[in-house]
Formats: sequence, C-alpha cells, structure tokens
Amino acid sequence: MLKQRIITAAWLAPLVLAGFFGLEGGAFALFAAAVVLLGGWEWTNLAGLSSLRHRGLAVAALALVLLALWLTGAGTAVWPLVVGALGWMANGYWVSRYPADSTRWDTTPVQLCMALWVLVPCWVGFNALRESEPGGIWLLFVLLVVWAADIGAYFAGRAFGRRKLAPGVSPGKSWEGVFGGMAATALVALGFGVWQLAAMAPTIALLMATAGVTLVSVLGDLLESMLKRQRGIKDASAILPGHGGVLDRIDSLTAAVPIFALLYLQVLPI
Amino acid sequence: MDLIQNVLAVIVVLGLLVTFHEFGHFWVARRCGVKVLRFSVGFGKPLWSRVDRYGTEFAVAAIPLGGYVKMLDEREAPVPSEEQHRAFNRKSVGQRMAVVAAGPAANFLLAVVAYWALFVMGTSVVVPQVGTVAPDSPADEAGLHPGDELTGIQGEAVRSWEDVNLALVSLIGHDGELVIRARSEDAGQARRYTLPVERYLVQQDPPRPLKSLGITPWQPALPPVLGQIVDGEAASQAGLRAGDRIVGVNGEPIEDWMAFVRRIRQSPGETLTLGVKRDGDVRSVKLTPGRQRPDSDTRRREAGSADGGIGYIGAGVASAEWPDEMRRSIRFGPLASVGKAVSRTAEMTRLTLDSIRKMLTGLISPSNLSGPVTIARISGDSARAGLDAFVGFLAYLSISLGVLNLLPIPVLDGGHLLYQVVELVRGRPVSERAQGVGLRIGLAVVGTLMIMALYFDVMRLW
Repeated sequence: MLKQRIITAAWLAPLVLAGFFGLEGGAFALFAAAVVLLGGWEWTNLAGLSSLRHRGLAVAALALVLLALWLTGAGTAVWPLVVGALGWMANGYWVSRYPADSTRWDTTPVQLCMALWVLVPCWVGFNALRESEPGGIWLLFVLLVVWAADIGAYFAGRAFGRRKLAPGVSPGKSWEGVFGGMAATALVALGFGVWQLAAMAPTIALLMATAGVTLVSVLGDLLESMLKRQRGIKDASAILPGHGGVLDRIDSLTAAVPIFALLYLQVLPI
Repeated sequence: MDLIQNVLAVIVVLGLLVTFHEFGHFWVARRCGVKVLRFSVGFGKPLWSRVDRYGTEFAVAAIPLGGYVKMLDEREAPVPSEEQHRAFNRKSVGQRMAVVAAGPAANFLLAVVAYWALFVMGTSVVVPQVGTVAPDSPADEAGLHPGDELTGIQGEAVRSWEDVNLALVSLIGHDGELVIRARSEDAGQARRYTLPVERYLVQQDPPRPLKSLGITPWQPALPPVLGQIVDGEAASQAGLRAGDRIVGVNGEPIEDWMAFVRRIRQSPGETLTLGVKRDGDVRSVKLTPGRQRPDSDTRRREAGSADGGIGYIGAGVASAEWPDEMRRSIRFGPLASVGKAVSRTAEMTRLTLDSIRKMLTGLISPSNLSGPVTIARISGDSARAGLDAFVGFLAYLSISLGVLNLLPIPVLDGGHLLYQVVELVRGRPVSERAQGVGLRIGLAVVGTLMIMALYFDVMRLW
C-alpha cells in the first residue's frame, strides 16, 4: 500500500508541478479545469448520481460554466470568489452542526449546487493566483500552506491530540492537530514574508490571512469527509492508486485556494 | 421655471421607477398566490383608490417619493384561518425570495427596455476627437495630438465621448499604464498610446476623467454671438439681443466666446463698453455685469475669483454648428439591440457596484453621493436636453435603484433576501430578535446614507 502510494506520487507530483508552473494563461486554465472537472466527476457520485449518463451530463454542464466564465472574462474575476466565500459560510455551518440539519443539504440538487460554489471558485482562484507576480509565486504559497497544514496537523495530532475537532464528521481529527497545522503554516508565511515582502506590516497581514486560510483548509477537508460519510464511502474514486480520488487530494485546496485568492486580490497589501 | 420643471421631472422619474419596482413585487406575489392588500404609489394618505375583484386596493398617495405593496402577513396582523394559505409568511422560502427579488429585477428589466429603445431609435453622438492636449499631462507624455480620434480605452472599443467617459470612469483608482488607441487625422491606422497615471481620479469630486489625462474634447469654435438673453438681468437691461455679435470690450477686440466670458467674469459691478455688431453696423453699448456667488465647482477651478464673486450678465451663447464629419449616428437592429441593451445594463450594474466598493474603500469621495436634490436637477437637465438623454438617465437611475435595493441591509430587499438565504441554509427562519436587531442597524445605515446624500446635495447647490 505504501509502495503504491509512493509510486503514484512519483509521477503525480512532477506532472502537477509542471502543469501548475510550466503553463500559464489559457493553457494553465485548461489544465486547472481538467483537475477541477475530474473532481467534479467524483463529486457527482458523492451527490448521489449513479447513471454514467447523468454524471457525464453534470460534468459537461460544469465544463460549460467554466467556459462561459472564461469567455466573459470572469475566469480571474473577484465575484466568483465572493460567491465561493459565501458558499463556504454555508458549508461551514452545515459541517459544524453535522449530523443535525443534514436534511438541508442531503439532496442531489443541493449537492450539485454545492459543487458549483466549491469547484468553480476554486478554479477561478487557481487562475487568479497563477497570475500573481513573479511566476505564480502566491499559488506556490497556498499549495505550501495546505501541505504544511496537513503535515503539522499530522504530527501535532499524533503527539498531543486529545480534544476531538469534529467527532461526527472525521473522528481522527483533533484541535491540537489544527493548532499544530497553524504553527506550521505560520512558519511558511513568515518565510514568504521575509523572502517576498521584506516589510513588517504586510508580513503581519500575511500571517493573519494564513491563520484564516489554514482553518478554512481544514473545513475543506471536513466538508468532503462529511459528504463521503453521508454516502457511506471512503475514497471519492480510485483514480490515483494509493491516494484515492482527485477530490481526496484537493479537498483542502478547494476551500483554501478561493479564500486566499480573494484575500490576495482584495485585502492583502501585496 | 427650472425649479418647476425639475420638480415635475423628479416626480415623473421617481414615480415611474418606484411604480415599476413595486409592480415587480406585486406581479410575482399574485403569481405565487399571495393576497396583496394594497398597491400604493406614493406614501401617506391615499388621494385616490379603487379595489379590484381580488380585494387589492390600488391607491395613489400624497407624498410622491416612493410607494409600497402591502401583502397579507400573519406577522403584521392576525389573519383569519380561511385566508392563511394566502399569507406571505406561509409561502415557501423560494416563493418568498422570488417575490422580494422581483422588485429589483423589474428595475433591471426597465433599464434593458430603455436602453433597447435608445439603441433602436439610434443616437447621434459626437466623434471622440481630441481638441487640445495640456502640456506635460499624461496625454502629452504619451504623444497624443489634437485632432487624434480615440478608438479604444484599455482594449475596449469606443465610438463616442460617452463610451470614452464610461470606460475611463470604470478605471478609478488605476495605477500605472492606461492604454489608449487613437487614429490621427491623416493616418488610417490606429496607434497605441500608453499614458502614465497614478491613483487615477482618486478622491476627485466630481471625477474629471478626461481633464485628469490632459485631454479636452474637440469643439467647434464658438463665435461671440449672443443666444438666449435672461429677462431683467444686466444684458437685457443694456438692450442686448439674441444674435448680437460682440466685437470688443473696452476697445480690446474679442475673437471668441470664451474670451468674452472671461472678461465678464473678471468685472463684476464694473461698467464696460462693448462693441456690438447688429444687422451689419457696429454700435457701442454700456454694460454693467451683476455679481454672482460662484458655485463650489467654479470656486475650486478659479481660485482667484473666490471672494468678490464673479461677473454675470444673464446671456448665453448662440449654439455653434457641429460639422457633419464630427457627428455619427449609432443605431442597431431590434435583435442586436437586445444584446447591446443587456450588456449595457450589466456594465452599468458593475460600474455602480464598483463605485460603492470604491466609496467604501476611500477611492471615491463620499461627496459624490447624490440625493433627491441632485437627482431632481439632473432629471430636469436631461428632460430639457431631449428624449434620449432623459431615457438614458431613467435607465441609469433604475439600475442604481435596483442595485441599492439589493445591498444586504435589513429594511432593503437585499436584507430580506439575506435572511431568506440564511433560512435556506439553516432550515428555519432567522429569530425575530435577530431580525429586530438587524432592522435597527439597517435603519441607522440607510438613514445615515440618506442624510449624507441630502447634505452633499445641498452643499452642491452653493
């Protein structure tokens, strides 16, 4: 199992990095769209669509939405990110109350809409951050933040984990893990502040934004766990041997990328 | 006369917009099976009313600024059990959202229809040709010349000065390069000019998009010929008439209208000897300009003339002829106009939202806020300027009304929608207590905005 995991990572990581930082403009948007549409394919299963025809139609509709946004110039616009931020407020509310109130979202139409406000803003966020100077540096930043949050949470959770974060959704997660993740991402932010910003005030702003984005990335993880739990499945698909599905890999990113992109474009003095 | 026209214009404009907005609510409420108790145009005591067969009272009320639709609702008054299924609060969230959203939607629809009519009728516009370029201005540094015709701003095609202004205003706060495409008079090909700007138009009131770049539009030369003469003012007392050509003031020759205006403005209360040409002979006329307090705009423009006031004679210039090659007619087919109207509405909506955001972040001075007084003045001006200016202003105001009503502030439609979205997420309505708190905050916000708008309105009059 571990061997399979490493073999997959060995071809996946270079492919993803080459796609993310080797491409730009329309080619990058197309690559990001491919990732998001794969996630969308898995999402249709989580949402309770079973026939391949229905799932294909839903993914085609999602592709059309992305295309329409791109053609109207909204592929890097702020408003889809705002929609995403509002959507994540609803997601956060439902995750925090799970399993109460699950009747509000546990229907196929609502979960398909949820895919719209999760996956579409994520794609827009990718595009917007890829345009950051120099060379999509802040896209690299948000990727590192999400990985640091995972790693920090893993070790801190193993060492100190006592108070459960969301026992109903994901019993393995603890508040201590979240704090460990925040400590790790703060180091990443500090590093980028010294390296890229080299000034006190923007670095402090970046640290605060990073703390928020870290919490949001945990929420992204929890939302997917909640959907899978409700549907009674463990992995979103088996497309990445040893890792599960694309959604299992990008669940934290679906929340962290649009929120950080919104902060980057509208709030942070960078 | 102007005052009466302004008041009439504002009653017509706001009356139309509000009636249409309320009609949106009314129509969808009926479709959703909600009983509408009253549809009132205007607030206060009904002057006229009539009840239709569904029991809805249609009323025209005394205060013409606004209107409302009153629906059957158990939260406002007890409802007998046989009518409960027709109460607003008993309807599903989706239906209630539709009823609330219908008002702003009606405003956007009205704007689309108005723009459509404008595009189909066709408008005559002035070709955006540069008149003068101020030395050392961004336009000068980029190499623009008088006589160049502007064809694009930041990649957006422009065909008239309205297009140019619209494109420029949406760039408020822009830093760095502003790309203008322009065609010089002799060359056929448009060239690309890069104008350096810094914090473009930030905190200007009102914003002067062209002047900030150092560009003035081309205008036909204005000869110093009098047009309209106001009764009882200095010019009419001196016996001047429409059609008189001014040839000199105190012996100095006068070549164009602006030179004459400058001379008059500098001389409040001073008796001037004019050389006036009428029916071929030149005669001499003594004229003593009155003294006028300059409005705040002029005061800022002409710092020197502030204290003593400026000279004023109560005469306007005879309109100059625009040569045909400087006009172009923009007209579209009925079908193409639909697309144009929708995208113009979307563009204006975006611009309005953008202005609100820029006002909140301090890029636009809040003194640009307009209240009823400014609306009245502009409605009056545009009503006098002709039907198409008036319809364009109506569309613009309709969009503003739609956008403002969608702001997520309790009391406004957007506030209701916000509560309804929360209800969708939670599965139960927002508690009455939270709604009450929100209502008070909303009233405070809206009240403050209204007072600010009125304050700036009144300040603009001086």
